[in-house]
Amino acid sequence: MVIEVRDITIQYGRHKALDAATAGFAEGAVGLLGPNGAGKTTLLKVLLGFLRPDSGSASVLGMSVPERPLDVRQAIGYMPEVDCHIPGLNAVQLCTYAGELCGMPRTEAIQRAHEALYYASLGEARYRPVETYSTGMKQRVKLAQALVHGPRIVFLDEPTNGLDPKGRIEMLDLIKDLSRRKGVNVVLSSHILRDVEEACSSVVMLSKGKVVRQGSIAELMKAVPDLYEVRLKGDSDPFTEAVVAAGASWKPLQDGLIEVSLLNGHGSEAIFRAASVSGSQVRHLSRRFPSLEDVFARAVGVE
Amino acid sequence: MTGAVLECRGLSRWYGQVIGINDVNLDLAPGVTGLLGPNGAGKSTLLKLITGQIKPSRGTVSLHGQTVWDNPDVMRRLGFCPEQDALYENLTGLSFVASLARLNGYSRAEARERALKAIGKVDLLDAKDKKVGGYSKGMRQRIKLAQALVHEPEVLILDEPLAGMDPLARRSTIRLIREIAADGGTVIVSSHILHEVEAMTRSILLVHHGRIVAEGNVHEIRDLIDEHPHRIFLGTPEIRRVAEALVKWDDVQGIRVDDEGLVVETIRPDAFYSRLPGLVLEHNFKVESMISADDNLQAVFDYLVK
Amino acid sequence: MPIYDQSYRPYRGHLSSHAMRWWTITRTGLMHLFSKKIFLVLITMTFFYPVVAGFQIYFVHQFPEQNLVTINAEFFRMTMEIQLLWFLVLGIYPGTGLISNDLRWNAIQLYLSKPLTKLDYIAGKLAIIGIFLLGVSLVPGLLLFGLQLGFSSDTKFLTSFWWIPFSVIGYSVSASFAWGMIVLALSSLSKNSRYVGILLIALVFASGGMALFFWGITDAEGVIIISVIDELKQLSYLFFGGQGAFGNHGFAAAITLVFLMGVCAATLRRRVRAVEVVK
Repeated sequence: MVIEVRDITIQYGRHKALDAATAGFAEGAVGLLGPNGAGKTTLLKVLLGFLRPDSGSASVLGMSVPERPLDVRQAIGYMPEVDCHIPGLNAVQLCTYAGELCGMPRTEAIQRAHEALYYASLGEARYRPVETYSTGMKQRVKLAQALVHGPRIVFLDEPTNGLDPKGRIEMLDLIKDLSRRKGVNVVLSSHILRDVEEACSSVVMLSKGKVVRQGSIAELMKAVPDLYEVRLKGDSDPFTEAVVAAGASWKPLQDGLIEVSLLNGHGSEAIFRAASVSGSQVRHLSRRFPSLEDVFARAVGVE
Repeated sequence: MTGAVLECRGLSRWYGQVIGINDVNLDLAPGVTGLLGPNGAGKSTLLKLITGQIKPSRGTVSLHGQTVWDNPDVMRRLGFCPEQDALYENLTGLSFVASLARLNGYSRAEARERALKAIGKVDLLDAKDKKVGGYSKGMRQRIKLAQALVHEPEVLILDEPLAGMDPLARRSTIRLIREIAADGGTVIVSSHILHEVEAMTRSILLVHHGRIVAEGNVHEIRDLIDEHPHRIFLGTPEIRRVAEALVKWDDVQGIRVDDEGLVVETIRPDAFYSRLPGLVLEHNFKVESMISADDNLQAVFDYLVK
Repeated sequence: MPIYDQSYRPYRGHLSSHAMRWWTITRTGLMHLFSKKIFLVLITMTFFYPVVAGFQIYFVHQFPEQNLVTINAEFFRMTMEIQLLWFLVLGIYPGTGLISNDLRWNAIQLYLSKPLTKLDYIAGKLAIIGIFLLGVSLVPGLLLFGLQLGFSSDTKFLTSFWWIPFSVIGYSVSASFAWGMIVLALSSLSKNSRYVGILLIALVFASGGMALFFWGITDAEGVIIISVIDELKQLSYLFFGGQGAFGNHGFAAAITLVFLMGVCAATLRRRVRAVEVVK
């Protein structure tokens, strides 16, 4: 585990922002999920050393956060959710400054700033003041300034906010590259579960200040045997009748999908048979995996 | 055109030399329509024109035949949830929505009642008496949605309505939007998060460089994109055997071998899908999954927006 | 490997020690200010009076029989007092924007997420205005003393007033520190540097007004130290001797300023934080 928190509690009056939260963040990319108010931001702030927990311990890369906050922050990069920049600087100056604030000598900081900006796909715009940037560009600068000093973990808070579809894919590809090929651990806090499914290998889910689920995504989203989801073109009644006639059962899902529950021993050929018999066109067929959204809803106690 | 609620004819808007919207003709039907496009494509300009916030440089925007610009009667029938986050921080949620409701001419009592109803729809009743300044991002978004709904508009225009919402709120908002459409309302949703637009509707409007690049059902649009054959992933352990059988079909233009199966490219997806079950049963193939790799919004977007 | 991965690579280079981290903040702030023309004009204007004082020294030595002005401790003290005008001006620009601009653009989060302590940040910002305040007080003071020495034909001046450089240093450092802290603390109170400017002017004039009011009632000179600017003026009497219209209350002024520093430090500690607590 690269990050470990144990029994962290933070209380404001009667409200517990974090309630004896205990979790381990594995290597690679970890998704940090939770409804609004669940304590995600609070947890991030504890790990960054912005907040002192009332009780409990937190360690990042083996270093205790309350005891060695500076060493911890040396090893972490933080990309905040909100718009933030240092007034009057352009992207290069800001990233250079960020590097210098981490102790890098100026010449190295300038080089690394340019490298980080290329990596984050910010081109010639880097020489203009950050105030003039679009949302997408601001996101890239925030990411670059978090990477300049070569941290071993980066905390990304809603990194795809405001990006258009192409920008979202680029950002997710970057996160995958960082965590899978560049040896940088990522903690991705996001409300867009598809992004987390795509880019992360494990998750930590918070609800009402407690950790309600954690573990690898593959584990949490194991396919359910004998359950398939099917989408047809056109009228689905002939198909569903054929399914029932074959002794299996079905139920409608959202988005026009149909869930088919097969009898023991039967495989997907039963579905093709039903399609053939009824003359229906099957356009989508796959084993039924719970989506991260389903896992999330169940974990948070909502149907 | 019959059935169209909102009509744009020859609509153009430029800012000095910069063109925002270029000769747009569109008919918006009831139901949910997704408005998509890269940043800078002209989406926000189009929305501003539709909601009557700016005047067209050329052409018209009309609701059931009446122009929108400078027409409070028409604007009364529109509900707008903007992307910007600028609320009256010191008002409570209820007073915020109620005061905006009063702008429509309702009495104080009626505005309050409607506000309560709208706030109920967005699940914020337990926070209605708290100051907006203390709301989380998701709550702020929901109160914005409530003020767009409070006067029961004919056309609802939503710009990134799910921004900042947590996964549960996203789900319930998508459900709410679909309900409104099912009840006969007309909704335009502008969003960058394509899979969420897909969860709401199949009907899209794709804007690029100030022009409408595609309009209609996403699958029909996909079928019309000839240069890109449909790619279909077949999950099977018997990759080579299936490939051998498929390559004989003349609509199959390419087969790529993957880890868990193969990706087939076909120029006639209809024919392909119809024939496949027969093939699988005839040869007793084990095909575990069949997933269309690009009959979705992301692919349509990628192919049309270079 | 013939093909090099041009993308991200870890940083294996040298990292400087933590001690001078505050200087990075100061240096960036200074560079940013010096790139603004209006600021350069302002800095030039601050030398106006010292140049005049320099000419006074010159004329005194050229035309001793005219008895134009006496170059004594009061001369230097007066220079310091006159330069207090620039304390006020520099307090408004760039002073008010120092922390308020960072609050406005959420930059504090960026700073504090780096391996920096709050103290580094505050010290770095204080040094930005501190350097300019010293520049308008310490530098002219010492230069004028040097000029006077240079023109002196005998050691009479030196033997009587050898202590003046130390007083100049002592006064300018304490006054700069005190005023810098006040400005910085006010700058941390709002996201809008204009409000801070108003607060600063209000503080100066309101405290001045209150002091005169109480003096009117009580007729005790000492109450003048309610006025912030007068605290700085009175402080100069502590270092240079003599007294002004309201007497010499240098020591009392010093104590008041120390107390005020405590308040400023506490304010800064509270206001400079990476979390916003919303009730």
